[in-house]
Amino acid sequence: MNFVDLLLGFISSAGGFIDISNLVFNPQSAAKFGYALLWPMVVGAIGIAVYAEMCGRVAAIAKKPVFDLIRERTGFNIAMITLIASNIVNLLIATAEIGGVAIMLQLFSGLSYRGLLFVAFGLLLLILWFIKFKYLEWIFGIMGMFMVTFLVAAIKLSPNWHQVVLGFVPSIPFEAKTDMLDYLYFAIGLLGSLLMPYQVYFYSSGGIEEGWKEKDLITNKITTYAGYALGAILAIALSIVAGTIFFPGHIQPQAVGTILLGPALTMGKVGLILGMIGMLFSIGGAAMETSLAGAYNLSQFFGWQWGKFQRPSEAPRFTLSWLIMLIVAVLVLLTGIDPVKITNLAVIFSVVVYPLTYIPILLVANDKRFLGKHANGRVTNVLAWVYLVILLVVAISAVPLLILSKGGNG
Amino acid sequence: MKVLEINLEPRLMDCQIIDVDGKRCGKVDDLVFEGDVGSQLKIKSILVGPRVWYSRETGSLAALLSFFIRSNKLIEVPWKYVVEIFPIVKLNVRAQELGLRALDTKLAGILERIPGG
Repeated sequence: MNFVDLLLGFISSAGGFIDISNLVFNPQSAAKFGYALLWPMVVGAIGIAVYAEMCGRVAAIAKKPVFDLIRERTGFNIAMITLIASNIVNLLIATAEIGGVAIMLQLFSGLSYRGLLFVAFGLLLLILWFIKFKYLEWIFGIMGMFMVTFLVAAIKLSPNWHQVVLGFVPSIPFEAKTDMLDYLYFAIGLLGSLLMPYQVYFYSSGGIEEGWKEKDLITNKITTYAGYALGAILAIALSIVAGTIFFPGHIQPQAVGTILLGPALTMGKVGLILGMIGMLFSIGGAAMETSLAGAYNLSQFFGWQWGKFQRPSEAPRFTLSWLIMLIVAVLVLLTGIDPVKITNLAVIFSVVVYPLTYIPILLVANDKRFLGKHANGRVTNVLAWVYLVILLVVAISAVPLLILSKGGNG
Repeated sequence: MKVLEINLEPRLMDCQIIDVDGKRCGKVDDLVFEGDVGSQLKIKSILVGPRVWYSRETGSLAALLSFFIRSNKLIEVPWKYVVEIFPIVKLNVRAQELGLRALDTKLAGILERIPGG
């Protein structure tokens, strides 16, 4: 086991944990309910860690990425429906992330948003074209660690720690029925933002890209459990910052950059810039991951050559797939649609894809023919099945809650 | 009429196929069997390509597929080229020799002209 690889894997997973969905849902939910919605982040972080660890294990031992499993286990018809649904969600998220990158570039430069959409597209295109998988992960993961600025801000804001601790216990901090619908909508949105299927598509394909073997299982465990735990702490810090600044004044943040008020208030200009760097690379990394996830899914479904370990011409249909994802995303953004609105929709609709994505992972991770002695143990199985039930409940209730709560504005 | 159920262990259908160079070159979209009544049934070949997808689909999904994917291509990979079936189907021949990855070869020629491609 290479310690540097282990450390970089841990940092990459922690730094790459946050994306635009956390930067939208966490401030919105904390502004409305204070610290009362910290518990969904713990539930979501454990869930994504359990399933990502299984994906990594399947990639290392059976050499199969998630969409291979989906097609083999569910057959052509259901896998095709899953492919269409998951890639619509991937495209929505990629669109929101690219819009987020342009917003961050605008905060840095003050230039026009529309012009910066082309800059964001150009930068992502160059990075994806020239840089190999391993370095992509490292660059965005390490720079994404600047999100620690929000953890420092959360501590410096001196929140009411007693209330913070109470936020980890599900409670009912409302009286009106509309508040209950909003509360449930945000709880599901927060869960959804941490359990986005693109993360497992990307993570398992990454395991194959890096040629994981049995000896890498320990890296897989540390990357998923420790790395995601740190990532979840950063997500919780976002909620604490928003809960401390916005909740007492009943201020509802509408823009992606509003959360930067936390580092700015506590650390001045330096904090603001560090927070902006963290956000830029977190959102940029997620834009890269979602575009690649769409291409991975298509390639794995149809059996095309895929991967970022080789030159673009060696996997041409894979290359064209992520390129088309980027182009379509920018075209959608040029219509003037708000990335925050796309994020809200994408997170809720991604929840619907959960069962079709996560069930095949669980089935194969349990299959001794594929994994031999590395098949799921009892603890993992109990956790995975409990989460599958949670995912099913969440999947069924997501869209009705979106409608009934009017997107959390009930 | 008697319905014959065949349980292929390990599963073959929808498995990834890789060629002798380790290149991914399609999925097992369908299988062709040979053998007379009363004799042992053997796999004759693997079918790869869009034409099989339509036959596996039904209703609106089939219509959607045929609208977006106009290709009617079908490639038959003789079973004699298969050297391994689990967990991935491995061939002992280059994909291009069987007509697989033809589009990849064309597209690669274009992408190679771009710097870094």
